[in-house]
Amino acid sequence: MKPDKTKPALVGGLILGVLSIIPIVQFGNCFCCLWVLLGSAIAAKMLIDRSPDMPVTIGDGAVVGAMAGSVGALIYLVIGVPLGLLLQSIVPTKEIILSFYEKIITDPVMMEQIRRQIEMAQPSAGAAFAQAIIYGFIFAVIMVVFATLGGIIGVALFEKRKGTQLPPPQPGYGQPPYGGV
Amino acid sequence: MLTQNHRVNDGSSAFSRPLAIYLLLLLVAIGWLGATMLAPYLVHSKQLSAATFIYRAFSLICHQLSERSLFLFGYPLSVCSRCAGIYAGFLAGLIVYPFIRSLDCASMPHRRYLLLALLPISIDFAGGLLGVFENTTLSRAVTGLLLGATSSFYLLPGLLYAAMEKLAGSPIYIRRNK
Repeated sequence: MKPDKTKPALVGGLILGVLSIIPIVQFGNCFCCLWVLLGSAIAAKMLIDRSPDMPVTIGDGAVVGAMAGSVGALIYLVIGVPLGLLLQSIVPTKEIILSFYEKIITDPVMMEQIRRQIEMAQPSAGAAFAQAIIYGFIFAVIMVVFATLGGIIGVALFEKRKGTQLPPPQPGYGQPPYGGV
Repeated sequence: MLTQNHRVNDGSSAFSRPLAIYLLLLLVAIGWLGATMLAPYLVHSKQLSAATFIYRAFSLICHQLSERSLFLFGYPLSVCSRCAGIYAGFLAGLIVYPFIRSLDCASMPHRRYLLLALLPISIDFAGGLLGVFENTTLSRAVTGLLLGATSSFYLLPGLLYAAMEKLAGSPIYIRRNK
């Protein structure tokens, strides 16, 4: 019998979701979605540990990874996005974008043009909220995709049993129903 | 019950399901890498709104430090050189995959190769972090390329067989090659 994926997905999702919303700690995701891959790989490892009889398949790994990613995405959308909006009121988005372009553009004339464009396009509070929601959903989708990949990698790394080690068939398996024709 | 010997393509259609999934993944990988290269082009052509959208979207998954990035049209890609290497390597791995292994083959390389590919990027990262040596844009890109290319040989069969298993409705057990 296949193990229940709910608990591993919840634990993995909680790990990747919480690590992805804590300020500063969340920058771990800047290294190829580190927390997302870690959380989903933990979910896959937990699923393997909870399945003593049957080896966990790649498909199971992908599903538990996607489930963990969905849990993490939900945590990010419900807690991370409002937290991000709160922090945005302290450091406005305009300043973040300007500081980014200041790092990559050396021409002062072009930088001045960009500064003017960004100030003209400064969004209202409503638009800033909408932007936060849009980027929140983009990251939620990225989380689910990367968590699915993390689940597959987790099975590739942690499932050591061969596919041929299957449990013996249940008594009566293979016999025709109702005593045959 | 399907086993590792089960061929997921029954040959009834010229355009098989594994091929369709492979092509879809290839398109996604091209689009993903293309988006990282599109951002500097958009800055170059002064389309800042679109460029800002792409840079901000990728900022969710990469630090985007310009001193650690590859440049195109005089501007940095929307991800660092290590991430760009991983994505480029993954795409390269996908492109060569059908020439090395069949899309119908239900096997995965042994995990030792994945761990081996993780080693150079880990050493490069840890060495730079601990100040043992200074990693370079080239070292970050090359080690990323290696990991990306290797991971495609795990993720492609993984995704192929995850999809086929769901379509078949019964588990497919994959035997790893030695």
